[in-house]
Amino acid sequence: MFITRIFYGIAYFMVLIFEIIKATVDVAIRTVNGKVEPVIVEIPTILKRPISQTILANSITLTPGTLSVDLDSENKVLKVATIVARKNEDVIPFEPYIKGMLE
Amino acid sequence: MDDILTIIRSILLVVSAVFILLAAFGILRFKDDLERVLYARIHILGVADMACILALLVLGEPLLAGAYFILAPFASHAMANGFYYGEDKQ
Repeated sequence: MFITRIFYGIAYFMVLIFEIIKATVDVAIRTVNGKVEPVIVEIPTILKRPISQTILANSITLTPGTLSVDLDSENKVLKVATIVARKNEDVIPFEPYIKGMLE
Repeated sequence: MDDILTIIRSILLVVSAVFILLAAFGILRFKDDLERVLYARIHILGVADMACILALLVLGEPLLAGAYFILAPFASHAMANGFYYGEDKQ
């Protein structure tokens, strides 16, 4: 349904802005107190279309503190560098919104 | 009314200036002895990106801010990808 997709798009944008603000403050605090330990993790995703995977990877890179390194489109796996080790769900909180928006 | 807008703009500009200052401090702070320090530097540069987008929005250039918002991830992604696969070959 078209209206539902527009609603999911607006919700995705709101969640993205909120996550960016949260992550910016978090990384700025980590810069001051020095608790930085970069790791690379592999994150499986549920998105199937390449365009939604690309939007997910771009959103991950846009959030400070997480950085997508590589995307395996067929196996649906993202390589993500995070500033400290954290849970997979905390790295991609906007995945269900992209799923509702484009799939 | 005009005064309030000016004060809000000034506060937002000062906030973005503080973030840019913190980013510069972070780039210089972490030395090469930290493991995989390049990723930490790219993460800290993301803070500077967001501060610049905020400053452009406040200064009344929304189209420039939107272009920056869309194009900023590509540079970070290219640097990280090149470093990751270059490290593999060594």
